[in-house]
Amino acid sequence: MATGALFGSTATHSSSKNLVEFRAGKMHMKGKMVHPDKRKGQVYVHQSDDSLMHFCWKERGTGTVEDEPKTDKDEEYCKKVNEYLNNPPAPGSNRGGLPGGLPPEITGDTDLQNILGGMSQQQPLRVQSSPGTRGSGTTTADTTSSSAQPRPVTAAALPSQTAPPSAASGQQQASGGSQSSRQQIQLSDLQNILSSMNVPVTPTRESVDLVQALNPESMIPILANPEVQERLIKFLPEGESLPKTEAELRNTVSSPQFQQYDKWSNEQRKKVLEEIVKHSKVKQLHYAQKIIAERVPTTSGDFTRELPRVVSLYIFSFLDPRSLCRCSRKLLITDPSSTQRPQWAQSKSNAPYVSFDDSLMNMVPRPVTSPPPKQSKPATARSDRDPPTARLFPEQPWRVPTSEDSDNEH
Amino acid sequence: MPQIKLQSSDGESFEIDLEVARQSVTIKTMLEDLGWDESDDDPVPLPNVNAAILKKVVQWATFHKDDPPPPEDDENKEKRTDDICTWDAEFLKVDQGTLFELILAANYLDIKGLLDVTCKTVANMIKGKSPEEIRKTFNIKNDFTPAEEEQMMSCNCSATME
Repeated sequence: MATGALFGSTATHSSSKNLVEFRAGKMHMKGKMVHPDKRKGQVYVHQSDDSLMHFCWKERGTGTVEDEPKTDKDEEYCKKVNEYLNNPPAPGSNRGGLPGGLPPEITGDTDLQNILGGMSQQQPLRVQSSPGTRGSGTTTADTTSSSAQPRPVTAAALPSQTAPPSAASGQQQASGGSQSSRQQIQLSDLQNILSSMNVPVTPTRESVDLVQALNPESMIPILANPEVQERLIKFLPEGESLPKTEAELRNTVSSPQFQQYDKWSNEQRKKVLEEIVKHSKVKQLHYAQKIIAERVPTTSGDFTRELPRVVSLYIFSFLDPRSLCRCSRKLLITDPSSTQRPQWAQSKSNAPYVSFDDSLMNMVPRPVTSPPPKQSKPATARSDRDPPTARLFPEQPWRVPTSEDSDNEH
Repeated sequence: MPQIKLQSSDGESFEIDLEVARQSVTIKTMLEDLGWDESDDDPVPLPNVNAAILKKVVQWATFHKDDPPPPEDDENKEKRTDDICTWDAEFLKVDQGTLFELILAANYLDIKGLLDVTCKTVANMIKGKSPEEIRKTFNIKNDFTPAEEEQMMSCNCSATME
């Protein structure tokens, strides 16, 4: 039975083994007359080890379960009642057509049928005993006239006051004060059971949305529990540290990262990305750089750094002297904001890459120390033509293109 | 027509005509050295070229398979950069990252025609631009120390005053 676990767990809260028990007398039907049995008794529902539900009546005074001679029919009726308990129909649909429905011959009593029909799943737990009113307002299950024998177990005297669940605990508390000590134990059992049912059971059985129930606010106190942290930490990726304080947790859980990125405006996204970058380590940023480079096309890159020296030189070989001079000058007149010189640039001679300036040093006219390289024929011509200018600034080869360029432009 | 399989660095295979593949001097030499014949169907591994770039290279080589072999460089002749055909110009309308990778692939595969046309494209990005524009185009970082900077600025005053 699906509710076996629930019943099993709630039953442990109770001092008695019975799920539900209340005082009830019983009556015998003889012929067409109903004769009360004067003994004081108790009806209880208990779940046996095979997780089947049993509906029993015992005499309160002696505590013995009625063990009178049974007829075949009694056995059959008891079996039917118990079957009904173990295979309850869906709540709210008490009338026939259900697989576990009561057979017609014992469904004459609509009260009983309503009660039993409603007594599915957790419902028996909410049945409230009406102490002190034994006999009054009880109904018998013995509506069939075929047997005049007393029944060892009757489905009798179920009180019709099945409390509305929302009001159940309040009513119990109100009535509990006036009970005898023995009954108070019973009521406190029920209260225990009820209070252990975390989700309030409403008759309509609204479905619970976990997304709503487990919102960040409700998660914070739970996550602040060190025990929970200890259990959750196993599921975190290695190397991650679980935020320890509640404030940290609150920040994490309520941080925008946990909400839908799509809902943010462009500005918000930028801000968050900035924050993420600020909080990342260099390794993570390198990774981010890699995945970004795969998605974002390079729009402006320094090919002298990306391509081997020989290829860069090959590209420069296509340039006319004027363009080469401009390439050279743009490096000489740079903004001083960035000052870090890369490692490879410090030993240019054996660097696998060539920078704009050192490749150009080979290509633009250098009349002072070395003959101009062969790649650039016009450059060679220029150097031949301009030695006087060059000689004026023997230590500053970049002077040559500069003066030439400005001459041309003015 | 005999086919040959090329395998990119990320494991993708391309089956292309042998004639197309032979535009790459690297592949041509490899096949000659290995004595490759048509019965071989082992792919030629190209560990330096990824699938996206190899696809473009194959596209280019297929289009240019009937081109005459490029003339030897004449060192005395000024190189032109305005002789890029329309198809190539359209083909090379890619981002700089792809363009540089194409250059690297052309260099590795030794496809002179492709290397020339890609390098010319980069050269054309420089030509006619001011130093500022060039720096912007290629996102040039300043590599100089403040001391070097100062030295150059002082030596270079005539340039800055233009």
